Amino acid sequence: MTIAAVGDHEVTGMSEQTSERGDQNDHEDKRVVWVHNEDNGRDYEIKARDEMTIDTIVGELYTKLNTQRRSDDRLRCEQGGESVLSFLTLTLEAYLEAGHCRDLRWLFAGGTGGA
Amino acid sequence: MLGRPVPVDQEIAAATFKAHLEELWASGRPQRSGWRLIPLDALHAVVELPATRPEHPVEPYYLRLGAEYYDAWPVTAVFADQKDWSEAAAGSRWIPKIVSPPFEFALHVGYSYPAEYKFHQLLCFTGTANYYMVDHTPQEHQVWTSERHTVSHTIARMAEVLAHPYYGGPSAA
Repeated sequence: MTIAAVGDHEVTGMSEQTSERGDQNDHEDKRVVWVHNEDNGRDYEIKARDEMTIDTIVGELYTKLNTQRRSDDRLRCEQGGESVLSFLTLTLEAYLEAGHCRDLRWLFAGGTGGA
Repeated sequence: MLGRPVPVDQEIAAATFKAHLEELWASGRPQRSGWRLIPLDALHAVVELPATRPEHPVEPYYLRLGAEYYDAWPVTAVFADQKDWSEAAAGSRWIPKIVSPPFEFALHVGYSYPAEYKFHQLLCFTGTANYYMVDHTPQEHQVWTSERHTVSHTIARMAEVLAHPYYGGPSAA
């Protein structure tokens, strides 16, 4: 079995800001939130403005995941494991200013049964 | 009652297992988290996972995965002995102590399976085939489906419980 160390889905540069250039009327800087779906190993990229709430960003994630929110879903920061879902009312700017998950790499996990 | 795992076409299982591991490793998550893949054969692999707790050096554990039922069911999974990748014995250095996991999970060692299954450990959560070898009643949305889950799910959940504050050290020094 050969496993590639680097592939098409590898992500880098989590904390960089990107600019929207496709629309000349929209020059707002956007950040990139990277989400790794632990259930299937796939990555998702969400572009978000500072004034967006974490709840809105999470909503966009669920749209990309094509699934509904469940109470036992978890979304946490890859560095340290802090729950993102504790900060749904914060704007992205406030979330970062408060020192949460500075590189914006999140991990999604759906409900898991057992024990 | 959930169906018990039965072996699937082994060529398809091996190809799917390999593809899903490649996809996971290509994501970069394993490299960032210090996971190391040790292929054994087409249907089996070991993943070295680092366990961390305060004021201790990193301690490796070895998750042995089997794809005999994959991906109609999850992979089989046990903690393995580093010397030969056999299923680690009760009280072994290679069995971690897990305290208050963040999802429904228990690690049973010395578990009595139905006779057709040759395991002793039960990593008791919906991400292992072993879980479905004995009677359980998970919520419907927690049940493994090949549409939503891959071997990534199994590895990630075990990596999570091997980190602070859930990891309590090895069962034996």
